[in-house]
Amino acid sequence: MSEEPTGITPRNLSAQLSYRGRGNPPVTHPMSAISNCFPGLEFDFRAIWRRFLVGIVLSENNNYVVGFEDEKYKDLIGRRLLKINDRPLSVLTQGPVMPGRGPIPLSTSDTPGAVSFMEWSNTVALLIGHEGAKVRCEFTKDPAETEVLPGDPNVATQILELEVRHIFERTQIDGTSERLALLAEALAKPGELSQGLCSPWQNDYRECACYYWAASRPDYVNVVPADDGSSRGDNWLQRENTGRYAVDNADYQSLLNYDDLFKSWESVLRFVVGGVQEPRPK
Amino acid sequence: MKDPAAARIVPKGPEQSGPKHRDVHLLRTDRGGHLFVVDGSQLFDLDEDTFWRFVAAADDDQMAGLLRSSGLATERRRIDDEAPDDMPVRALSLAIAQKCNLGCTYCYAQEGNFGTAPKNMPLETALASVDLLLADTRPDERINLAFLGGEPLINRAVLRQATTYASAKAAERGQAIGFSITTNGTLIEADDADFFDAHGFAVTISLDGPAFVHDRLRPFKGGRGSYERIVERIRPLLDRKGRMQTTARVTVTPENLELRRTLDELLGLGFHSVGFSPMLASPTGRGEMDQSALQAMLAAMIDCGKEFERRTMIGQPYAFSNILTALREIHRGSHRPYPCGAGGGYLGVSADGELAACHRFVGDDAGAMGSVEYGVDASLKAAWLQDRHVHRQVPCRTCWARYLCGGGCYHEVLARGRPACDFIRGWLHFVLQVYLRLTSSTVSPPYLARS
Repeated sequence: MSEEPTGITPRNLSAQLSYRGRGNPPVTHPMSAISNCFPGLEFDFRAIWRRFLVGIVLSENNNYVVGFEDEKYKDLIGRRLLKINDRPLSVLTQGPVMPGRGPIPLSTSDTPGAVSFMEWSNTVALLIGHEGAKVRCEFTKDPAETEVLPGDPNVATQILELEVRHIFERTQIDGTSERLALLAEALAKPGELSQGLCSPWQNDYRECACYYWAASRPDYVNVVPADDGSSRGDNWLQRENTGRYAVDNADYQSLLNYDDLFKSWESVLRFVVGGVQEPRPK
Repeated sequence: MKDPAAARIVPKGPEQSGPKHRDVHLLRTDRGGHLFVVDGSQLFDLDEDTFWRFVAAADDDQMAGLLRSSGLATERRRIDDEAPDDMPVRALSLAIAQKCNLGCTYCYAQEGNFGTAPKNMPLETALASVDLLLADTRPDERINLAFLGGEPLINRAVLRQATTYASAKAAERGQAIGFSITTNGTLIEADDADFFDAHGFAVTISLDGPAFVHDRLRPFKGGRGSYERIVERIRPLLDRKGRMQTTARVTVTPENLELRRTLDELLGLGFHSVGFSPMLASPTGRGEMDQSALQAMLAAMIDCGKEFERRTMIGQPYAFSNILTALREIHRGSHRPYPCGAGGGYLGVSADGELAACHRFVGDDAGAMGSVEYGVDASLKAAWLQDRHVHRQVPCRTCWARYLCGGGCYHEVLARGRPACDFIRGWLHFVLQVYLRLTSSTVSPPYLARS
């Protein structure tokens, strides 16, 4: 980063995407921030799945219908979307559990049938070429709290034609419909893009042991080179900056605990500028 | 800080858009100084102190250091020296008729037949080309089928059957397909509009200006003017406001440099958009642009661009396609090591079923790429992309415009080298300024939305 003051303002889209503001860590770039595509600090990209099909609202990480935009689909609430254009959205999850033995269905108490919704991003990728077009959607005929395997002959289904929503806003330019670099307004209601993000005042920062959810924030701060070629620094959740990294080993004496974050996250979490978390270690 | 010596070397107008630094181009508008970073085609505003620090960089090494210390250099450059090795062919153009009823003075196809006996593409070859395109792509990849010539409408029956066939085959596998045609417009029949509209054709009509100019450059083979006939024939196309679009392409020679008049006249006819392209290399040398003609063309392009800017500021459409395309590419930060898809994602097919790097290399061994029967020759394609990477082109490799320009049309470069570099840089310099002005204003058009 620059040591000199610079007055540089990115103008076109590639400059905006690449530019790193002074003092920001590398993970604040959209291309390097894991948090940009998972519940992190900028926005929850999974939210684009919720209103991907015009008329209904899906859970952002599942094939479960949680709401409707169009009254005529209100009966779909609680049902599961099993296939789109005959392609299943869920699969039987199998894998080995014992060395030397073959794979078996991996069931849990939540998914007794060992059925998992395929990664939503795969589904989105398959549908992206169908924006604005109708696709054949196969739903369970009845509400289904647990996952259902598509193609199960014991499950009654219903087929509806639904339109795939455009992900990006479009505008008419000289009579041609053109895509803009904006997420379509109809794709998310206010707040929906950020409601799934991790929140400092909840469990998230402590729950995610590798600080994945807090990815936009440096988790190793006050770093200085050590004589032996390694480095010295502080864990970002340390109560006090000592220059000695405190390992997170459930010893809540040296690190911030859940209660600290619930009650006073705004004062116990500190700013990091140029890699230094205030106050500097003595 | 600003000093008079530095002020002299700062580019102000397009005439000062010449290559100075390998990694950046510095420019000014009435709002101050700006920096175009070649890597990633990134555009920045600079405050005065910062701008003059960049101006003071004496050579490429100092400039690279300044970019690094400003946080503007990435560890890995976005475009490396390697050619892509997995570029599927997503677009084919069929030389459906290697013959033409016009006798244009400058035609790269030598009045349509590419220097051989005139011929039509047989239906089997056209259908086999469609099969090749479908076989080499996945259903989720958009493909495009273009019809060129010669004059493609001489072979209307095969054109229509190939289109219908491709349309049905693509629909079977849920694949998006686009169709385009470049035609001289003289043979259009009333029901062509229905056909083009039904298949969403992008129709390009070659027109070189108002009648008195056009008729000199693009007469019928007997010498009679073609303008009046074309305008009459294309009327049903221009009146369509459905799926199809009809645009005009003007080939600019020293004889038709009145671009603004041409633009206004053609837009007045109802074209969806109008674009200009300089004639840089013709088989006979006739109609080629020399340096003074290119300078005059740049001035005329800028004149059209200023009118575009003026109209945009008051919310009026003005479909000058050169500036619309350049603005969109600058907005996105397009950066590519090639000028076009030729020899990569796009190939041409001759009437005999030979594959060529593009429609201009039909029948030319220099651009041979295999055949429809035996498929794309992967080694020829790989060698083509390897040799033509802009990092391998001199002087392109050190030019600031290299990732927007890509090094110029291969066919023209082979024939005549690169006579238009100053023209291209001057034009891009101007459009960068227009971009900066439009996106600073409150009436910035929606296709330039910032975030």
